[in-house]
Amino acid sequence: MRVPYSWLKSYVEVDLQPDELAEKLTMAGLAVDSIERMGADTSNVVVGLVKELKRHPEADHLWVVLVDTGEGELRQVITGAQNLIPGVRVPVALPGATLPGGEKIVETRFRGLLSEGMLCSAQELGLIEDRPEEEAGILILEGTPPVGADIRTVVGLGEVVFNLDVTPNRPDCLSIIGVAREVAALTGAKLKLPPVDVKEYGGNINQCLKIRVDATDLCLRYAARVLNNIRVAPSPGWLQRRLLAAGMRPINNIVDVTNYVMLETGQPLHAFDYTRLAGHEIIVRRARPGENLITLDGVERKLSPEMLVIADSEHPTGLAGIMGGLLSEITDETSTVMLESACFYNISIRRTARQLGIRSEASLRFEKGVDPNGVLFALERACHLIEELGAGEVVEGIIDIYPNPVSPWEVKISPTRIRDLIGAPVSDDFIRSSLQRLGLEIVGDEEHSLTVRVPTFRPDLRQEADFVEEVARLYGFSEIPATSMEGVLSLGRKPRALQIEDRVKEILRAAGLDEIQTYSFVHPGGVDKLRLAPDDPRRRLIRLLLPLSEEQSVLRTTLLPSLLEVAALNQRRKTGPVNIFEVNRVYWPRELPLKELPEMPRHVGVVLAGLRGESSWQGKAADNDFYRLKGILEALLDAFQVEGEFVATTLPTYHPGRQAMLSVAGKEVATLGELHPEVGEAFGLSGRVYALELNLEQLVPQINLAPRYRPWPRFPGVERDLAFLVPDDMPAKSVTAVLKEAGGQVLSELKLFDLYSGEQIPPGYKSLAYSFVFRAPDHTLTEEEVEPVLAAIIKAAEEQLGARVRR
Amino acid sequence: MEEKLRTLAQAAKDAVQAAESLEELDGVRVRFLGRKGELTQILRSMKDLPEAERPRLGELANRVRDELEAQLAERTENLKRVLEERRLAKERLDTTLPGIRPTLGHKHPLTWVLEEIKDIFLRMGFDVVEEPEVEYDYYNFEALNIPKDHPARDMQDTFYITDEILLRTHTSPFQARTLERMAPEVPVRVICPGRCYRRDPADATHSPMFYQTEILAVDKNISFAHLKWILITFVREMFGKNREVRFRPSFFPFTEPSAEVDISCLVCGGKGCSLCKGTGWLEILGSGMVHPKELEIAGYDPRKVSGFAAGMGPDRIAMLKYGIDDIRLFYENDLRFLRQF
Repeated sequence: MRVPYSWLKSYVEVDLQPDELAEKLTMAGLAVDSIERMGADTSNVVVGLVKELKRHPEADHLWVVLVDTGEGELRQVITGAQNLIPGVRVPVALPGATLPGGEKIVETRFRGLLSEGMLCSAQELGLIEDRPEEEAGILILEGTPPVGADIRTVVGLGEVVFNLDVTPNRPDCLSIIGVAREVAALTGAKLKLPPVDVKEYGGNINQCLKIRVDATDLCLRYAARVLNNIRVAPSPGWLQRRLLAAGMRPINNIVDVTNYVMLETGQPLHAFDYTRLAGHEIIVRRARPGENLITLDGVERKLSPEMLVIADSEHPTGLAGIMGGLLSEITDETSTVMLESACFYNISIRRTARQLGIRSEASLRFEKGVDPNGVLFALERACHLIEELGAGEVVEGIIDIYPNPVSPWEVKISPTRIRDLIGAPVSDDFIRSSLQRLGLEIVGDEEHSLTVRVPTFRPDLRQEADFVEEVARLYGFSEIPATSMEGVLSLGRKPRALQIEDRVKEILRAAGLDEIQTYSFVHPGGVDKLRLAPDDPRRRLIRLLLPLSEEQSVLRTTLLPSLLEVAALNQRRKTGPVNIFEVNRVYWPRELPLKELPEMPRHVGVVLAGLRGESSWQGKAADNDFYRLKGILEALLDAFQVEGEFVATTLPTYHPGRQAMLSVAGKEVATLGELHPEVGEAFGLSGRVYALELNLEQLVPQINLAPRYRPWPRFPGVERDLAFLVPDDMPAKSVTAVLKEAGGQVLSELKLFDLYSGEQIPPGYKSLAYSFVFRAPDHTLTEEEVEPVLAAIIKAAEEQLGARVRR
Repeated sequence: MEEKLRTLAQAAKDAVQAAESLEELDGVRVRFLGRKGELTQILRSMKDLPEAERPRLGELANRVRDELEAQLAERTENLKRVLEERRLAKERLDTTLPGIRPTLGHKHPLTWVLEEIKDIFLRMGFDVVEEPEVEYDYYNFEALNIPKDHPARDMQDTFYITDEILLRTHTSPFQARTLERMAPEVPVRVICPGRCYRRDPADATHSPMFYQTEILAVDKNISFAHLKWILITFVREMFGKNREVRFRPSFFPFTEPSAEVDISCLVCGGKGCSLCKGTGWLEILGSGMVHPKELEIAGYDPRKVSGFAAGMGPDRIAMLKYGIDDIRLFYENDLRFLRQF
């Protein structure tokens, strides 16, 4: 909401500096986003009188204008504008002038002719918003401002405008009077309402106009006046300046008055060309199927039956509360006007405006809610102004259809409770005077309670809590002390799952992985790129009803596509080694379409591509491989003291020979592997890529967050190394199982320290070298004790695995 | 004999001094003190000496041996030191070469900020809770005093999944859920962090997904003054002891009174700059006293208990704290960005 300071001052006596007033308003809840000083950076622009006008000899579209700027000699200025005639007064930017935005004017040649300055449009002077689609004519100045005068004093530059951010609960402040009332409450100054007296020139409205409201549920009140002897003309300068300063463009006196009164009172008005109303009748009704309307902006709108229209006896002639129709528009020929002031149902207006994609100053106000009891004041104010401008004469009588009048309501409040909730020593007197300053009436004043009558322009004041806010903001939020909390000491706790999440992230970072955060909604094609089987449950995606794009249209059921896309992006941008992880939720529907909330388990995803870390001058970092990926998962299990088992799998997402799943307590908790090359290609990845996804939710119950100390052995162990020759395809797990079994109690550690195949190893075989540590809990083992165990191990390996010991 | 011992002692001493390496020195030791060493042989021949001279010469021979051993030890020590010094003198590294850095993983900037916020409130006795991101329309709107077609829904363009289920537009549903779970118990002190969603196309300042963190306290006799204390304490912990804080009336449908909390600008400190658009203030939190209707819906008696709530955007806080000018950087995950945190 743009509030020109000079306009505001017409209703409330306030002489604070703009900054001070802005501060006051902001701290009272009417946030001033910015203070604009119109044309503050404009200089050297003066009033010029157009003396002579001729076409540029070299260019059809240019004019050579001789203009008197009060300097004795006429200036020659070249312009492309087409709206000039001799005798008009226009703004002339002299060489050396500055325009809003800092543009400097210099003498320039146009097709060989010198232009000693520039004629300015309203846009160029910063009076109205620049709208490139509109032809920018030169601003023709009203009246006869003195030639050579500083333009700032003529067109209202220098006006201070407050840009207010009005919260949705205060529709009353979408008007200058509403803001003035607030200023009055804040400063103690008196509110002065503008005059609304209307002179009636005979006739009878009921004889020339019929109004019927059919849709009484969508139209709370409909009032109208008829005005004769209309003389449509440009508005006087003061009116144009105020509209411009408030951000609206002057059109003609009749339309300008409706806009002026809307800005002034918050009540949107509409003027119809009475002679264009078929049957001289107004029917407020829903649109009929198939009806169309060409609105003022020239666009033909398809109407639907939930839209409220203002119709004459034949057709819709306006979109109620949003925009008038082209047919009943006020034109230079208009001689009789019907002026509408009405209150429409806000939700209907919002829906229609949104559906048709129109946002007007009127619809904005109706959407937020207008005061049905302010309808007549605005109507009378507009009629008063039209008469004051000599632009029309009011026919006797008002039509006012208001079947269910809204009355002020009463709220009982307790000053003690208000004080307690604020937590400051606010006196009863202060509470009383605050309410009165806000224009509220105290109708009951008892020992422990006040009864307040709320006028209908404050629909936000319904119960005591609303009054706590009114009192608190007038008292000043900054005056309320900051008081430390009292009461029972409480302990801040973090749920176990979150503690585990934090720990997981810590471990993964320690492993050298960077954390990423990606959107929860993804492209549905991600599951195809992963080559998931047609019946894979991760293909059951929850779709958004109205996504922003296909890329963000479904909730993810797996973290992998997001991670792989980030990996691909970083590969493309060559940002260095890609070792990343994410811990976030995935969304698994219990049924589709959703009837209840989906499962939202927390997952951990890891993707490794390329090198394990940064290389250095000492050498290149090692490549990632499957075992690093697995090692990361094993480190996680170790940190939580969880036992898990890795089982080979045949999932389509991974390399058929390089994948596994992790099972813990009989449940699959993770899959891991080298990405299938087709998957890598689908995501635009190069090289071998390794990925794992872990369902943390499944793991949480198994996790031990408080490790228990286990003492280490007191007696030294006896170490032995042995290498076994086994067939290539024998899993290491089978070998260790046999070795452990044969080693029995005294085998306390068994560790693979070498895997070898190649020279000296027969084809189809591999050598697994293990280090054994034998140990007894109560004494140091002797050679004699160890030898038989070692022999048993070798025997078992030979007999059960067909292994040969390499010595 | 005596003469022989003295000569030997002198010769040994000279030999010790002359030795230039540990090997030479060991040669000296063997020559005099070895199994067939010159001194060893003298000592061995003591038994052949006359009875009367034996004590005196024996003592002398022993002294010579002790002295020699001491000299050897001293010389060994010296030589070791000298040799070590020589080795050290030869060993030189170019310490201006870069070090070999361990590969450290990086914490996402949003995680940094989220953890810091949680930590501050945990210390003030708030429990962390998590609530569903896919939420019922009821909890996201209805239970928060935002009936269908309430003007406040103007501010919120929502991702719906069905008519009744949506992606939460704020963490505020946690208020209704927490109060429903806790009623009529007090005190309630909780903080709820999490992802939220709005139908805003991504640009430098908007993201269709973002984080929110919200706190809620309900107890007997809670006032706006307590809200101020908690939030001022939080802000000064988060942004520094000298941060100015101001509370400004505003509007949220589920609090009354409502306040925006501004802090003095992190760049200019309040003088006015481009970050704070010349105002000197940055909006950082929305807050207010819990609406009595919300307490009532959950089963509390608003005449007996009251509460406050506050919400903040970790994305915005991270942007301000780290000087990030585009929210999309958080979710794009360019590693050159992430590795700076």
